[in-house]
Amino acid sequence: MLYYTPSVARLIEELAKLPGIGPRTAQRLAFHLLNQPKERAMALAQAIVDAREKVGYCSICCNLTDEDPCQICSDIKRDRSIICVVEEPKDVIAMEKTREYRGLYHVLQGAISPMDGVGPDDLKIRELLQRINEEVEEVVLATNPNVNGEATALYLAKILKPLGVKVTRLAHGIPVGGDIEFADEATLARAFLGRREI
Amino acid sequence: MRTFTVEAVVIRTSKYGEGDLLLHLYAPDRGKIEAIAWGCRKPNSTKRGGVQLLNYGLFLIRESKGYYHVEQCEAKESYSHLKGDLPRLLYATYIAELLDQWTEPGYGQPALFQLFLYCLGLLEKGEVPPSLVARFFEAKLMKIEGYQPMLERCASCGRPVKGEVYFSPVLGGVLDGECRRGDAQARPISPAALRLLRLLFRTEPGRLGRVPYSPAAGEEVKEIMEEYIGQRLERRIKSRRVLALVEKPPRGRKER
Repeated sequence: MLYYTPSVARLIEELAKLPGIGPRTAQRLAFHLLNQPKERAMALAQAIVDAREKVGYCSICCNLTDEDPCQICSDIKRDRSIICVVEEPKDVIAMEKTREYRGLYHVLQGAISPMDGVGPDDLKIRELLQRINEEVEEVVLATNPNVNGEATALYLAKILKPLGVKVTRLAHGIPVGGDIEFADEATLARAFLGRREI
Repeated sequence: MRTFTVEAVVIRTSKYGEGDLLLHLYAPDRGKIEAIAWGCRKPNSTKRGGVQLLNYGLFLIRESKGYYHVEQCEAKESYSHLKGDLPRLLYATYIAELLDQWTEPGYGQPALFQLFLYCLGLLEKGEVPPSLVARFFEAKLMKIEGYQPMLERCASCGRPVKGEVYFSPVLGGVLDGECRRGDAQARPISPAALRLLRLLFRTEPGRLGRVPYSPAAGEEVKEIMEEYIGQRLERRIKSRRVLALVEKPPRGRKER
């Protein structure tokens, strides 16, 4: 028995393909869209089409952008002597929110994950190596502090150091606002190793 | 709904949801356990440090509707030296993937658990070449699981082998020159590689450092074990590809 008209069924089916959206939520979203004024639904559809058609990868830093080079790479006020290497485009957003960093970025589009068969050839490492020139003095490895992120950072350090560039890694430690009591042993041990004089 | 505490090692992690991880734990008596650690990828999670790949520790697990959930965990050993060295880390992930692919949930094998911890300990100390640790793990895994190949006598006719010797992954052992014709896939094995292979199966844990190891024989044994295990596992070990890629120099490098 068909519960919905074919167009509504298709809308629910497409929405249910989104991450974190189950069939019930997809149904609720579909009916919400149908109850909205037509202009709003059209604006959403147009936004999706525009984003999908215009957004691509920056030819320099491999971040998501709708203009090439991206805004960060073409900003002349940015410090060109330092490149921060991150795994995903959303990591760039997290870094930018700190307002502490004014250098450039390089997005690897993933991390080395041996068990998933993801190796260095599957990441944007060749593009990073091509960016290392006389102007670049430091590369900050800001991959995630898990096993895959560490493997990626170790691999990058191995191939970047012979190029004569300073390679640094983001510090590990207790999160701001967290209690030492609840910190795990590995984090505390790393926080001790990375302690600094005040 | 019930809870239990288990001593286990994390042999696989995969992203699950927005801030969660699906863990494959290996415990001595329960074998592989697939459990979800909710919220552990977020910086304020108390489980974050304990659930990292290759950590050995205590896990409080809640079972609900046939699914397992990690409620609490405490790392006993996080193998920080191993994780700070790329070759050792890659070999450790290789043996973890082999254990994960070989085992099924719910079948505990204490000897396998002890072997895995022993190999992780060796990689952590870094006194034995990591490739030798991997070959030792492969050999002992086969022995424990009852797949030890015949290395002293011909796997086809049963006579002691001499002269030119071949290894047959299909028949599970060495073949002499005459019996080799019965298996087109059989490959020649050098005396050094055969000696190393025999030693790997015979050597007790604790004496691995005394095994004479040459990279050439090690490479030959690696290829033989890859074929032999592949024949039985019928699955591909993905970390082998990454290991090979990392060991070769990168392309496109621009010298300054």
